[in-house]
Amino acid sequence: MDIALDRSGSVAALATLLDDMAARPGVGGLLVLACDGNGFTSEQLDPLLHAAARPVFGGLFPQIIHGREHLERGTLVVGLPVAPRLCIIENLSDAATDIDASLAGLDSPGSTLFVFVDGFSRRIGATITALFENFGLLPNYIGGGAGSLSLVQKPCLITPRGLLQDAVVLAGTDLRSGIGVAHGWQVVSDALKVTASDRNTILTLNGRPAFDVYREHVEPLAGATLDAGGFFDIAKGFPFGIRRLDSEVVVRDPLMVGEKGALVCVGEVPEGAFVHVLRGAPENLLAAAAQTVRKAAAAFDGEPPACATRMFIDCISRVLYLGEDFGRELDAVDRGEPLFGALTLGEIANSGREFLEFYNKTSVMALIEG
Amino acid sequence: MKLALETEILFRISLSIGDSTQLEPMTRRVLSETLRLLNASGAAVYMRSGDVLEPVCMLPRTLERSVRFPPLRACWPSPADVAAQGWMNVALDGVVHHLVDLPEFGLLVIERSGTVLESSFLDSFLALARKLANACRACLSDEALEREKQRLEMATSAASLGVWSWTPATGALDWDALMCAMHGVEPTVFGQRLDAWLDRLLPIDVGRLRSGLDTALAGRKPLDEDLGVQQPDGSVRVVRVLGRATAHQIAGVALDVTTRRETNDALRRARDAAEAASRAKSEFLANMSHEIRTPMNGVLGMLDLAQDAASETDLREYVAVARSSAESLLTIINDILDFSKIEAGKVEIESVPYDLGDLLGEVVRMMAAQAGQKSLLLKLECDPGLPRLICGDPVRVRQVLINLVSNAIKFTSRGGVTIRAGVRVESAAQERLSISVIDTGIGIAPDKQGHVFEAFAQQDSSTTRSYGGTGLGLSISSRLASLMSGHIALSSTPGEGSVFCFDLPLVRGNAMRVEATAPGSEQPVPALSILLVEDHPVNQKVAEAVLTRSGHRVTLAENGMQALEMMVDGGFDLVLMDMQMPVMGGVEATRLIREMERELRRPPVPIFAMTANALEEDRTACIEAGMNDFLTKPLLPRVLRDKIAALAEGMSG
Repeated sequence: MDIALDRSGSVAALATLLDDMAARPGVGGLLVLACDGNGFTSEQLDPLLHAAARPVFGGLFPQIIHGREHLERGTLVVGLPVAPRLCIIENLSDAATDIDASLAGLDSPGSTLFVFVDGFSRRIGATITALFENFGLLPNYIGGGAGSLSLVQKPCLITPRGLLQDAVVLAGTDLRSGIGVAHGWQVVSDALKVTASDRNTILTLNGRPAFDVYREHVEPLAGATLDAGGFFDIAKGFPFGIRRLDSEVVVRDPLMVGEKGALVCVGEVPEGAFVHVLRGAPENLLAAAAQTVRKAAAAFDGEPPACATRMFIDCISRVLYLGEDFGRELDAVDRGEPLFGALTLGEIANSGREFLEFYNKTSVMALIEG
Repeated sequence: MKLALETEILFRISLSIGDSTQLEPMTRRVLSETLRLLNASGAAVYMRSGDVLEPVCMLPRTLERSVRFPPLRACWPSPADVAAQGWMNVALDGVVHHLVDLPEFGLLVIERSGTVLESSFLDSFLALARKLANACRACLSDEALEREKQRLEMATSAASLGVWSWTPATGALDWDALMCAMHGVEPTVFGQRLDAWLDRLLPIDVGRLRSGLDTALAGRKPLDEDLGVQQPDGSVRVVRVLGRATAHQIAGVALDVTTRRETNDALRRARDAAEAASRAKSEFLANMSHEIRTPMNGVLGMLDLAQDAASETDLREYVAVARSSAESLLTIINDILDFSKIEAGKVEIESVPYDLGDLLGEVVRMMAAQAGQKSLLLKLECDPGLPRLICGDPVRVRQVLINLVSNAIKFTSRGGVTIRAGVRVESAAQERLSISVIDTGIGIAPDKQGHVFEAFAQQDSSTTRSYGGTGLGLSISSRLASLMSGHIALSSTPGEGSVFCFDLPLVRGNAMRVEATAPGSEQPVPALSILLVEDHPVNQKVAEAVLTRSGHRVTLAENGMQALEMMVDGGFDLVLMDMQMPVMGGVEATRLIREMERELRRPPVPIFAMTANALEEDRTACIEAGMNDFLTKPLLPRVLRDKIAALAEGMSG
């Protein structure tokens, strides 16, 4: 796989990269990972995307990863050695959008299905469920939520139709891959019952306002007072976890305090679920990231490839939580092969043996042939 | 697995069971939750029929197409074995299928990679499996119930049956849409209480419904009442309500029987009318029998007497009576034929110019003798503005007038009969001819006046016996008047007399083409050579005698073939041709004669049909075959003489 990086984050540079990469021999498709900090707009990108000489897909993310660097500005253009089959579903938040029917537009998910979704769409959970119910374990899934850390929804998905908002873009490829998923967060509380929720907002826990219950559990652990104003500064170290059998808990990141003591999370929390407060020790998180490399190699379908590329999808909140230590996380996953990726608003992956999930605060490593 | 996590998972899955009453969505929801919580790669619910498993829902949908599913599927034990154990595991290459019995329904399959679910968990899961099986069966029952409901709705809709139920304890009344429609109530405003029903009924039927419901609820008799329902537009529909009671409820159906009732009433009326018509026709036939036998008796009796007449005076008297009887008989037969033609729509009305004054004078002349016999005064009064020349059908006008005058004379014993003709101006563009026949006779009772124009109706049978006639005359006249866009009105006072007013559109004619209404002048007719083609000996004799007496030479042919042979030799001025004869009929003979004449380049000899077939199609057949005129039997000497005179005049002209 050819990987080209532009550090300027300019539109002109992107145009050049797209042209150059499309012109390289053996390139069948273009994966574009760009920084939200580039400030790209639909008006700027749409003409380029419409004119792209190869199928193009990807997104704008809080940061991108290139080798051991994570950048807040710049653009990665990856030349895929195969032509991807694209499926784009727009108006994802609209309940009238029939996701199942739209998925029928994807000829075949292939061996590896790239999934990039607007991280602020309201039906990400339904999309993930529909993907698994339709395709099951036929492909490996790798991708995540695009968008801005400003928490403002805006066009963030790169597609041949242009830069889209509130959509999902799927790219089915026949590239073999292995996926490793891990986060390193540990359960530190008893189960709390989600007695009322509305998609990604927990209204009550154990029958009481969610914030009140959360605060009672977190303040003793954090040794600090938790209030709505500086909520995320403390909450980023104490996410929720939904337990699954024989697997790490699925992390749900509480972002802010909503009305009547509700907690707004990244990703859906179903009513009736049991959640636990998690705590992350940096060493555990780094160890988990390293673990994804081993898991990906172990999960690779068939003989390990002679030539492989690593795509690392990591949660931006791990950067926020680890701070300076995040460089060590990239050190932990670098094995000398070409490495690129994005720091996302939620991660989408499965290892090829489990249920597909939308994760938070999680590291996903994909070992991809080519 | 930790107990707490087990409990969480079982609790979460249990919450998803029974979320829907439709089988596929319900099981899909359960499987989706199971996949997520058990971190499974696939799950499916199968319905069991014997040892056959039919998939109900499968997640992911591609499960059976995955590489690892078929080898494991091949290793499944029989559903009966799974049922006996509750659950069983089948593992291969790190993938396991957990098979869980769904009692009395089927099988739940969970596919996982890695570790096998613990036995304790699967044992606990059995409780959920039973709950899931119950929910699946409930879905099937619900679907079956829904199907039954739809079938019932289709059946009640097709039969236009409304469905209702009433629960006295709660007062709740349930109507379906058809019940609402039947009672003229909008479903959205229907009160759902018994009072709402009672409000729609005619007051007289409220008590009947109440007592019918009470009786049915008491278990004495099912409800079966026809109730009058007041509709919003003021009309009343009749609704038949049937109902059967159970312990706490009475339910039933309702059917709008208004149309059925109306149809039955109409059928009853039609049957009564048909029976009345049948009776009238029977009476008519009896009358006809009497009417025909009476003159026939006169004819035969007088001829019997004539055979043995003692003197020529006696002989003449017998023959005169026989002739009068025969003419009566002919009138009766003509009436019947006329009526039949009108009924069959085969009467065509002409519009030709004619002299109205001549026609009225002729009617008076014709009827004067009949009036004179009863010493009645027969008068004709014409308004000064009455035009002489008008357009219309003089034959039919004459027929109507003769009938009216004849009737007037028949039912008048003293005084007289007056024919009054005038013009009535309706508008500048429309004038009507009005001819009234006024008598001083017995009159007609008011309750009978409406029936005098009906066929087969006289005042009563005794009228027929007293005055004779078929009772068809006025009916024929009235229908002829209608065919001429006119009508006949009656006003009458019993004991004082009647006025029949014959009214029809007046179309003024011009003097150029006037149909002669008077018979031709009695000019001497030159002797003609006539070929008489007739098979019946009596008819041969009558015709021969009439013709010979007028000075014509008559040659006889007994059928069409003989006539054709004689016509080859030629020398005839006229052929009188019967239609129905043995060997060859008149129509075919005429056609061959015309062909022969064309081949020999001879001028066509006039051929007159002479037949008892008096219908229009017979006339048409004769004319089409090449005949020149058409005489109906019995052959009246005067008519025959007139026709021949007209022919002779044409030949000489």
